[in-house]
Parts: sequence; structure tokens; C-alpha cells
Amino acid sequence: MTDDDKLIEALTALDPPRRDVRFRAAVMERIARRRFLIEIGAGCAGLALALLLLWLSGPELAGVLNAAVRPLAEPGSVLIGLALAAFLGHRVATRGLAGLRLDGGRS
Amino acid sequence: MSAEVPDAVLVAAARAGSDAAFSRLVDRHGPAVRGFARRISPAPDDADDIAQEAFLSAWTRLRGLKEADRFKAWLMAIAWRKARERARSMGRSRTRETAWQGEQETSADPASDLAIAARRALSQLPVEQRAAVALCLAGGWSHGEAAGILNLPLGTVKSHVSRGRVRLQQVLGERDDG
Repeated sequence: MTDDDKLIEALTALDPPRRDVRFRAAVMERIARRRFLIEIGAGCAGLALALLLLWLSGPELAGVLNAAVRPLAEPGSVLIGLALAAFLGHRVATRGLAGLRLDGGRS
Repeated sequence: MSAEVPDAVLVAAARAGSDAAFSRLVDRHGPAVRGFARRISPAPDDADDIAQEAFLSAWTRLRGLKEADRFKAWLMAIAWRKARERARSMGRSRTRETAWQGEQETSADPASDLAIAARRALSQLPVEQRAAVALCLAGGWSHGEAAGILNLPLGTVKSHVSRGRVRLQQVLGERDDG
């Protein structure tokens, strides 16, 4: 055995086993953890960007929404008013009739 | 018997999100990276951590790898950088402590005894010399490839290997004589 052979034998004594499932599992676990953090980070960044855009465009967005809702709101409020009046009128009318009927029963 | 899938194919699959492909790369190159880390790290416990960090860093930067067929050399270069970063971040006290631990290591197993002797002998070399010896004598890399991995001039690597070989033979010879 030459000196070089002895040297290489000593150096290769530090080699790990050719196949080590635990090492692979440890690496893949760290990768899964890193991926999770990357996804969380990307989600937070996306949310922060959306909130920033919403905040920056707030006044314009409010104007646009108001303009969009107003034409709907005017006929809508008339319809709601009419529906409310009909409902209240119906309630008053039915109670009044019931009252008349009760009164008539007693009298 | 199935032919071995080339690294470039596994790298492409891993880039596309295949954990199975990356896992095969870990199986294939894990022993080389861990062996290299064990030879250059002063603390045996740190070596596997360095190897794991190298794989993690490779996974994160896989899209930046230009020549996918050179994955192994690229990975070894990452492991080398990780080992240097760790060595820098470790305090002098830790290094002293580790050196002391190394002196206390003993074993009844001749194979472990040889490993301990090799670690002690390697610890006598400067870190770049140790890395050059680890790559060229134990890892089978050419001087040119080692120069690329260590980011050192070719002449420096040749000189490191030559001096490192002589020094290691001296230290291991002293052990045999003693």
C-alpha cells in the first residue's frame, strides 16, 4: 500500500453511508418548511398590495361606486317607499278591520 | 436495470416543482456533499447541517442554475460557501471547544479510529488547503474543477493539494509510527 493509498483510505473513512434515508428526509422537511414560508410571504405581500391599491384608489373608487349606485338608488328608493307604504297601509287596514270586527262582536 | 436519469433531467423536473426529482438529486449527491463537508468542517456535528443548508440553498436558487448538467459542481460550490459562512460566524471560543472535543475523541472501532485520525490530520491544514485536498484526493475532482468550485486560481489549488498531501502524510505517518 503506497502512502497515497493510505492517505485516500484515511480521507474516505470520513465518508457517510451511500444511502441515508434520514438525511434525505431532513433535507425535504427543510424544503417543505421553506416552501410554506415562501407561500405565506407571497400571500401576505399580495394582500398588502391589494390593500395599498385599495387605499390609494379610495377616493376615486368611492366616486365611481356612488356614480354607479345613484341611478339604481333613486328608482330603488321610490320602490322601497311604495313597498313600505303598502305594507304599513295593509297593516293599518287589517288591524282596523279586526278592531271593527271585535268591537262589533262585543256590541 | 434502468439507465440512470441525467442530472439535467432531474433538475428540469425539480424546477417544474417535482419534489421526487429533487429528492433523487439529494440521494445521488448527498454522500459527496456530506463527505466534503465532513472533511472541511472542524466540527463533525456541523457537517450534515452544512450539507442540508447547501441542498436547501440549491433548491431555492435552482432557477438560477445555467448549466443543469453541472449541478453537482454547483452544489459543491454552495456547500463550500456555506462552510465558510459557518466558520466565520462561529466564535473563536467555539473553535477552541471543538478542537478540544476533537482531541478527546477516541474509539475502539478501527474504522472510526481512522476517521478520527483523518479529522485530526485535516484540522492541521488551513481551510482552503483542506478543501482542495478533500475535493481532489478524496472526491476525485480535477484541479480545474476544484478551482471552479472553490473559486481559486488553478495554480493555488495545485499548490494546496501538493502541500496538503505532504502534510497529511506526515501527520498520518506520525500516527502510524506512534
